[in-house]
Amino acid sequence: MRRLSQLQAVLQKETLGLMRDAEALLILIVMPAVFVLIMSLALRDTFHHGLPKPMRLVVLEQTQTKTAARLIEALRHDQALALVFLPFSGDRASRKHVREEVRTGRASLAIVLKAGRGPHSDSVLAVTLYTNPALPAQMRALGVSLVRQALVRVKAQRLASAMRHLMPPGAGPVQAFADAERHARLSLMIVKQGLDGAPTPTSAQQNAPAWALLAMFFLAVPLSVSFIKERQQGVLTRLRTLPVPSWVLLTGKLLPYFVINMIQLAVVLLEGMYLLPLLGGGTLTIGHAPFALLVVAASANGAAIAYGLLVATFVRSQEQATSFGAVSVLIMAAIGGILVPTMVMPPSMQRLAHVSPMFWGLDGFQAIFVRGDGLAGILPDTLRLTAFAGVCLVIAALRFHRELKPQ
Amino acid sequence: MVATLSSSSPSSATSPAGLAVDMEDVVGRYRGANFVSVDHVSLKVQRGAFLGLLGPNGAGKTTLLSMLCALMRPASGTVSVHGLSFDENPDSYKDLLGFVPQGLALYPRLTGRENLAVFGRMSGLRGDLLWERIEFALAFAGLSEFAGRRVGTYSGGQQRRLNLVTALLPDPPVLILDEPTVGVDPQSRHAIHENLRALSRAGKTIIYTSHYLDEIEHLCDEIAILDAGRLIARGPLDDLLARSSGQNIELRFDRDHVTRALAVLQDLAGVQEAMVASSLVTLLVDDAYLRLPGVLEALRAIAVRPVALSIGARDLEQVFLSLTGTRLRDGV
Repeated sequence: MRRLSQLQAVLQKETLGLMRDAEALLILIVMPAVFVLIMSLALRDTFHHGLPKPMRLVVLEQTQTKTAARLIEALRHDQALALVFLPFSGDRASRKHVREEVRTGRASLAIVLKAGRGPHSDSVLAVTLYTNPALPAQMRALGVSLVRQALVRVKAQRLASAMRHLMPPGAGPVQAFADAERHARLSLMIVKQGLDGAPTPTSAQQNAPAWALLAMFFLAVPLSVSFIKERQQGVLTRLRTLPVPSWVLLTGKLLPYFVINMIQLAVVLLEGMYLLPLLGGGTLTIGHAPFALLVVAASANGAAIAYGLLVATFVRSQEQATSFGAVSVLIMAAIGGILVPTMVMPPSMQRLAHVSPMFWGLDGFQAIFVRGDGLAGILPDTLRLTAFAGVCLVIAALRFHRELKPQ
Repeated sequence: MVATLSSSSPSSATSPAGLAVDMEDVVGRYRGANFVSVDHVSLKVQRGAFLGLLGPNGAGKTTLLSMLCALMRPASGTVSVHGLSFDENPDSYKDLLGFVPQGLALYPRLTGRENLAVFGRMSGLRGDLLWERIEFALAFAGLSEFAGRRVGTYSGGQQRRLNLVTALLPDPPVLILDEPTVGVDPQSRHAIHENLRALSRAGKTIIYTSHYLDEIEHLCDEIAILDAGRLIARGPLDDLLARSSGQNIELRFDRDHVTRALAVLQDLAGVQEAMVASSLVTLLVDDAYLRLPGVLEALRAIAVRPVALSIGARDLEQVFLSLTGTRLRDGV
């Protein structure tokens, strides 16, 4: 009972303190919403018409034919594409690998080249093109168009070559062209990897979760400032003389910030769903897995709060809290595809993005919003976020406990 | 003050017999420091005593109080309050102490009543007792009518009074006050003094530090003086004054003559210290009767005539300065 009453006291003073700081509340809740609005509208055209170069195209070549080589050569000459070759490791495993590359967004496009069937199998090539559903519609159309263009070029080369060989002196041109066309048959099948009918990502679907995550992690600044103030005002010294354990002080301090983050996220999501479409900023569709959404939100929130706590236990002044807290969060955001979407980053930076907790959070939200995943789809990101939160919390709790103990 | 002190709690009902605080051969050293801040100090305080703890900056007062309040662990020696050490039962040990820090350890965005509720609950109070103690503390500090206002809007004196009564909420038997009247107006200072006298009459043990020596002189029935980490004097005020051999000669001059007079007086035989405050020169001497002719002779030699002259016993400030010296202390 005593601990519960003490916890109630800490919750009360944190909640009242936050509610009576209008500026802080404005920053914590309203500013992210304003930011999402501005960024979604500002980047709308970039997301619809942007031409990030080059698009990563994964190639699985199973034919070893001249036609396939010509197609690859044609694709390689296109500056808009960066080719990555996958080794063939069996039909099934290789295709699974290809699909995974595209589904996870590591590649924008993938083609599987397979020999066709028929008497002229060397000339017959079946091309299957996979596209990442998270790719903006215009970029996907561009990718498909580039592959088509390369195919037409190869086909034209085949036609020209065949006509030179097949047209005997005196033969009618119509018959010769028909024969050549038959021998140079190429087929293209386009597969949109992922769920059928998955919503096309919009500027809002990138920006709403991204900026909400940034705001969540930015809570490190006010959280650590509140610790510093308690130290500077002498309140922490008074608390150290009272019979209250460190875990009560920590829990009571964290819970109000956790609630504020959830409110802030809800405001941003509602804004994306209902306000942004009215202003032409695209629609935020949040998928069909509300529980999974809650799990991702809670784990991202936990990671953000725990990081804030960790910062709070290391910094010693308000200047340190604001500068280190803000800069470290911005670095995580820049790496994690919050400030700049990972799809426009070079491959090396895309790989680096995977170390940022904000990337895990964003990927978790995108899994639900864009790829239509449920709990299973968000599990890896959620586990990473939870582990990150756990490590931060343990270190912070140990440091805080040490600070409260007699020195 | 409209409130009366509670006598219902077990702590205040305790008989004032025996030791409230027992610090035995305590050494205090901050982590990483290559010197000790408190050097083998033993301090025993009887229950119900009102002890003034004096010392120049860096003397070790805060370190000593920190060890008493379990903010700092002694490098060696033992500390107990009402016979209980911190390691035996940390929560019970803390329940015995009420600490009033030098800074305003309050939440400025919360009202006076909310602050008391927060610290009261953290002290372990709840239910009706919590609210009774809050209303008592507000009345005791004369803040009942301001209880619903945010502390950030309080005057300095109101904040100081609230800071004081926050420590009284759980009705601890031992109160430790670290310069509780810094920066307050005379009225609030007077109110705080009245509060402390009432608490002392109610049987609380009070340990009080201040740089205002007149406060200590008027409030405390015992004084301990620390310097350079050591306890250099201890006893009732009269004993300290009596123990201090010497008197003072006070001379008031025209302002234009003060510098010249001081130049010849401070080097006279028997003058231990010479202090100047505006046009008043105070000489601490071993024997005023013996030294006065020499003083007057020296003044005659430079043709400076005092406008007033008096001989008196030393006050606490003079005793303090004679024990600790007049060298500036800028340490912490």
